[in-house]
This record gives sequence, C-alpha cells and structure tokens, in this order.
Amino acid sequence: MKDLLHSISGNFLYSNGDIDKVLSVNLSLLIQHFKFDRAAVFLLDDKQINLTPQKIVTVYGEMEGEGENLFHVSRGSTFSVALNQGKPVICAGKPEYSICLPMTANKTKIGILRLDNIFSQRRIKSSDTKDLIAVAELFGFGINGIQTHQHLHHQVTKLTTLSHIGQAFASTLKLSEILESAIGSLVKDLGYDRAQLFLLDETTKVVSENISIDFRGTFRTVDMTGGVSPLIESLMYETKPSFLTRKFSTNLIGYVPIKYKSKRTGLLIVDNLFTRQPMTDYDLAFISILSDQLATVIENARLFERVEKLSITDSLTGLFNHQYFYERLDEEITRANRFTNPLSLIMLDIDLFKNFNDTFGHQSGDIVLTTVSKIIQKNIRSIDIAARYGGEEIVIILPETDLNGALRIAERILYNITTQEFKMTNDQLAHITVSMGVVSYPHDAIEKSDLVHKADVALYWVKHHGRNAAKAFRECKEL
Amino acid sequence: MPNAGFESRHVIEQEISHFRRTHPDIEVNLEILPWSQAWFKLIQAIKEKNGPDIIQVGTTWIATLGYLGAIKRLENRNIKPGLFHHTLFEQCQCFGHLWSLPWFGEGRVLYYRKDFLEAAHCTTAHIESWAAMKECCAKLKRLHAHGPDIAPFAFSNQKEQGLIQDLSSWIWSQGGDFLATHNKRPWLESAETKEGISSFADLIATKSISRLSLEQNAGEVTEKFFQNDSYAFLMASSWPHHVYLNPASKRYIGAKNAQRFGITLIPGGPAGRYNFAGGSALAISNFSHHATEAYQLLEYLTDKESQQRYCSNINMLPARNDVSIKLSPSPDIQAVFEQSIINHGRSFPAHPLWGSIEQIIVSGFAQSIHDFMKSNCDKELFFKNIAEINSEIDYILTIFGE
Repeated sequence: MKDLLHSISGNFLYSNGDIDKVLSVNLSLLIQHFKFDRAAVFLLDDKQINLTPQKIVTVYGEMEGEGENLFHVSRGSTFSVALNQGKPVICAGKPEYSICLPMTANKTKIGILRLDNIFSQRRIKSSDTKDLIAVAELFGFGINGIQTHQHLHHQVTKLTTLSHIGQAFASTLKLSEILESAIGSLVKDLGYDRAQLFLLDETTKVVSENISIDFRGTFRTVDMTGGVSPLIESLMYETKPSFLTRKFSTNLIGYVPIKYKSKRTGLLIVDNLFTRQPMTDYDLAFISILSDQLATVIENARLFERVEKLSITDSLTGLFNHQYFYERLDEEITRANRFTNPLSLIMLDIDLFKNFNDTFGHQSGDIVLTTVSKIIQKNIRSIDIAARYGGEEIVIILPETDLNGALRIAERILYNITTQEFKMTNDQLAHITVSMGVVSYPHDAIEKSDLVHKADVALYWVKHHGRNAAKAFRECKEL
Repeated sequence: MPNAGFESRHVIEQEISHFRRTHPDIEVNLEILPWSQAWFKLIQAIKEKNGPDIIQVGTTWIATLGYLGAIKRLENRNIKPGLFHHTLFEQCQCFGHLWSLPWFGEGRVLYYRKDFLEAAHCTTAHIESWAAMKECCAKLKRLHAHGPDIAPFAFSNQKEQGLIQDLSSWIWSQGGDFLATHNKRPWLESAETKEGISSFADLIATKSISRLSLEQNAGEVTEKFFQNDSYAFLMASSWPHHVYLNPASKRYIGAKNAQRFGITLIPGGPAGRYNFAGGSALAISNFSHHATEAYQLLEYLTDKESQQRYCSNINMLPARNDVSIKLSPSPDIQAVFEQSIINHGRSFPAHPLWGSIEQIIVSGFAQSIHDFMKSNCDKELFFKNIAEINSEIDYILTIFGE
C-alpha cells in the first residue's frame, strides 16, 4: 500500500500538468492493486454544481465513454451524497459492487473517485475502505495541484497577451483599426469564441455601429442606426461587467459597458457559445481591463479624428478646404486611371455675390454661403467631395461620374439653389442664382491643373452668357 | 465516439480493417473520444483549422459545424436521398445544404411492466396517449396502496441529455416546441409548449413520477427498473433492451423476469405521437487534406455491407432503408424500435447555437423540476422558472444576432 501511495503521489508530482495522462496511469495502478473492474474520476466544475467524467479506466484498458454527461451534486444521487457528506458511499444495486469516494484538498471539493466491479459483479471489500480513503485524499491533492498550476499558467498567458494588445493599440489612431484590433485580440489571442462591440454615437448617444468577429476570423460591421434590441440597450446602461445568462447556463456570455471617465462609449460582449466553455470572474476581469484601455484609445482616436477633420475643413461652410481638394483630386485621378473610370468636376460660383454682400451685409453673405453648401451636400453622394475653392467659389469632385451624370447633378443643384428662399439678417427674403462650369476627365483634360482651369473657363463662359446656368466646357468652344 | 460502450473501438476497427482490404493505399488512423469531451476537442481543432478528415457527428451538432464552415457540403456527391431513412437524412441537412450522411439512428421508447399493467387492469391502449396514461398511473397508484411497492413512472432528473430528449415527447405531442419563427425566438412560453410541460408536471404532482427516481442519475434509475420491482414505466433508448433483456448479455435478467417487460412507442397527444430520434452521421472536415480518401471511407461506411455488419454489432438502426438488422427477436419490439425513428422520430431545432441552448434547457428544467418538488408542486413557481429559461434562450438568440 505504501508503495502504491508513493507511486501515485510521484506521478502527480511529475505530471507536468498533463491531467489526462496522470489520471490514466494512476487509475490503472488502482485497478492492478485492488483488482477492481473499473476506476473513474469525476471532477466538479468551478461553480461546484456539476460533475463531469474526466477519466475512466477499466480492466480491459481505457474506457472511452459510458454515455454519462453531467451530474448535478445538489440532489440525492450517490455522487451527491458522497460529496456532500464527505465520506465514501458503497452503492448501486445488489450486490454492492461500487464505491464512490469524495476527493478534497484543503477543504475544497475536487470531485469523486469511483471504483467498481461492474463486470464481475463482486462486492466491494469493506476492509479496503480505509486504504481507499487515503488514495482518494492523494488524488484530491494531486488533481488540485495540477488544476492550480494550469490556472496560473492560463492567467499568466492572458496577462502577457493583454500587455501585447495594449502595445498594439498605441500603433494606430484610426478608430476602425483600433476597434478591429481590440475585438480581434479577444478572439484570436485570448481564445474566446466571439466578440462584439456596440458603439455609441458621440452626438446622438444612440448605438450607431456593431462590429463583431467569431473564431472564423471575419469582421462583420452592421449599421445600427435603424435601432438596437432592448436587451443591448439595457446592457449599455449597466454599471458593471457581468455574465448574461447566469441562472441556467454556465457563464457563456460576458459583457462590459465601456466608459471613458463617466461618459458611456459602448458595450463589449464576449461569448463562448460555440465551445460552451464557461467563463470565470478572471475572464471578466481581463475583458474589463481591455475595455478600460479601449475606452481611452477610442476617446483619443475620436479626438484625433476631430482634429484631422478640422484641419481639412472650411470652418464657415463645413465643406473641405482648398488644400484638401487638391490632395483628393490627385487621388481620384489616380484611381480613375487605375480602374479606367470616368471622373468629373463642377466649379460653382454664386452670381453677383459682391452686390449681395453690399446690400445685405457680410453676415447675410455668410448665411448664403452656408446654405448653398448644405444644398450641395444634400445633392451629392458620400463619395463626392465638395470643397470651398475660395471666396464664393465651390468645387465638386464627382468620382465614377461621366459628363452627362455630372451635368444632371449640376442641374439639380442649380434648381434647388434658385428655388431656395434665403432669410437675411433683417428678416428680408432673397433669392440667389449660381453659375457652374463642368469638365470631365480624361476627355477635357489629363492634368489636374488643366482640368481645374477648364472648369473655371466654362464657369466664366456662363457668367458672360447670362449666369444662372451649368455648362460643359466642351460646349463653350467659341470662348 | 463510443456507440457500444467500451467495445466500440473493436467494432469500428473491424470496419476499418475491411475497408483497408479494398483500399490498401488509404491509411486510416482512428481516435475515439468520450462524448463528454468530444465536442470541446473537436471545436478546438476547428479553431486551429485542423482536425480529423472524417468525423462522427451527433445529429444535433450538424447545424453548428455547417454554420462554422467546419464540414464540407456533400450535395455535389451524387448521393441518393432515397437510400436512407427520411428522418435521419433530414437531420443531415440544414441551411439548404447537405452536410453529412446518416450512419445509424436511435429513438426513445417506453419500457413497461406487463404484469403491473395487468394487475391494475390497464391495457396497452392506456399507454398510447399521455391523457390515458394519467388514468393508468392513477390505477397503478391504487394498486400500490394495496400491494407491491411501486411508483408508476421512473424518470431521472439529472442533467443528462435524456432529460430533454424525454421531455420533448410531452411538448411535441401538444404541438409545442423549443424554438419558433425560423428558430429566431424561444417558444417555451407558447400555449402548446406550456400544455406539454404542464401535463408532465402533473405526473410529478400526482406522484405518478417517482420522486426518488428524479433524484437519481439515469444509470441508477434504469438499473432499478430492470433489477427491482420498483417502477412500471421507463423511457429510454434501445440500449437497456440489449443489456437487460438480451440473453446474450452479461446483465440479462433471465427469461422469467424478461417476459414481464414490454416495449412500445412513447405516448402521444393531440398533435401526434413523437419521440426524440438521434444517432450519428458522418461528415468530412473542411480542413481535410485528404477529402477524396475521406469520402471513400464515408461511402464505404454507409454502403450496404458495412451498415449491415456495423449496426448489427452496435444494435442500432442502420441509416439505410435497404438494410435490415435484428434489433430484437420479437417482431413487435423490432417494429417499435424501427417506428420510433422512421415514423415517430423527431429532432431538435437546427440552430448553430443549439448546444448552448440545449445546455440551458437541460439545466433549467432540472432546476425547475427540483424546485417544483421542493415547493410542494407550486405550478406558478414552475412556470416562472420556465419563463426564465425562455428569457435566457432569448438572450442567446439576441446576442447571436443573425
């Protein structure tokens, strides 16, 4: 017996964390020593509610399953009685051919060691009970040691990963990249099945976007402006991280509201709904640390986006500025070349703007400029670029648009401006007109400066021919 | 995965050695995993875009594996659906695709004590519907008051898959289900589902279901049903028939005892007579580097000869309808086992997260039944718990978001 105990403890000590292997070896030793038909270890889960068969060895070799799944320990089964009373129970039918021994370590319940003679139907020898209690104690300590080792190893790995993720955040200020990097890490580096982030719009304070990824590795972005489920809405306003399905499932979904100082930014949800591996409070703590970091980097990225926008935007009209227009025109010409797509340009000028300013004052002139800009933005697509070229001149880049398409857009803008009533600072109502020159790449010009110049030429042709119209450069040849 | 206890390795090894004789150039490495660990190991392999070439899959896994793109579609393989039992072939399809081929099937049936029924003046007509069975249970209880120490129904309430498999018969027979609206909403609070659950709860409240059996695991309950004169009814698969009622088994209870037991279909209700039909299918991993060879093995295991041999060894219904094996020497019992799959078999909803949903249902029902007993059968409390199970499933479906 002494040799047996020595071998069992030695095997646990030098198991190198391989619980499967050490249980297989040690259970086989028990079968040999006590001449049992079968030996099995059932382990308790973290919540100390369920018992799962971990290893079953028979006199014929390792048993690969017996149709048993989970056992609930709070009810009156033999396992429950053994665990809850902390003493061996000889059980199961007549004759009594099976014994269940509770395994504990430092007063913590670890599981059940079950030994039986199910095939030969021999009674359990009560004279063996004392020795078997000692064996079960040794199993309890051995398994507990391995579990503690595995747990610590797991935590260290996660902490190291978290540190790497933090470093990755610092490498970009682009919001979309940061968000993908964060939820991608939760799945790829920390091993959760799925992660999703619901982002609150800064201005409207409603959920505007949902980015998600599962372990297949593809990001999915959904525009949520159409509305979000009441469940997500309510979780957004929770005060602390928690698990979603707490009563009947084993912590498969964790959520963390993301806050920067006291400002709500979004909601992070992580789940193990495919692997069905329960998450622990440690998992929730890791996700919370990540979400705290994320809140800060989201705030920084949004700040950066605001500054960047300011540097390319005309402060009065909200349109892009002159410098940004030339940068984008370069890019769009390159893109048009690469994909042999058409590209058009509209140059617009408010007619008799100087007279208008002199009559109604500069403040009223600003109202006109702002309103005209808004009308233009309403009548173009999100991929089009409208910029204040200078004074009352506005230029519009229309990617993937040929001359006819550009003329249609110009006519639409013209109609909407000329039918608009402008309320001046003295409450007087006024109407304005605009003139527009339209050019198309590469038909009218290949060079950027030439394209702008020809749009300008067409614009001045309109000015000299009665204003309040849009004309293509190629139709103004007599100039 | 084991299909015949610890003898399954030998049985499948035998099939593989047959296959090797006709395909000497294809090497087959066999790995058998316990069901309790198989899912986790399989999904870990999928996460690493790895895993076996050919996988034995539980029928409730197919939707998840298909959704994850972990198994190959088989519709371009010129498979003839008519060769297989419809119920089993259906389980291999979801999201408009065929993901696996059925291998073998197994249904749930009702085991009953003929002698107890006779003593209580009940006939087999009493066990055709849940409503009639209620009456039969009452008669059996009256019998108990004057004689043998029996409770009518043995039913384990431990957190095992059998719990939901058996409960589903009550639910389906009333027209209820677990999910609805194309599997986008939970359906436990529908009138039909609640009716099914309620008729089950009534059997507990009237002590027609043994309280003691509810607290024991399925193995212990089955053992007692066959070894002791404790219960009149038990719902189970065909496994106990092969263990306790088969003269070739080590645990055969003897001819005199065996003749006291009858086997029939699980009772029905207004919406029909249904029982859970499961089994296993064979699928090819999407990460397989040997898909052609894997398909050859899959074809082999589902061909007539292999089906005949393998299913005879594991005592399961072959998936092919042109193969017949003897599941019981009695033609009546043979017919019950076959009909429990072919005519009355039904499976759980094909949802990618069914595993997690099932976990909540099993755990939730086990807890609700336990609370029901402890609260002196307070039905309001019982249905409050069912409402919570419904909410938790709804959470999962909402978070899934598809």
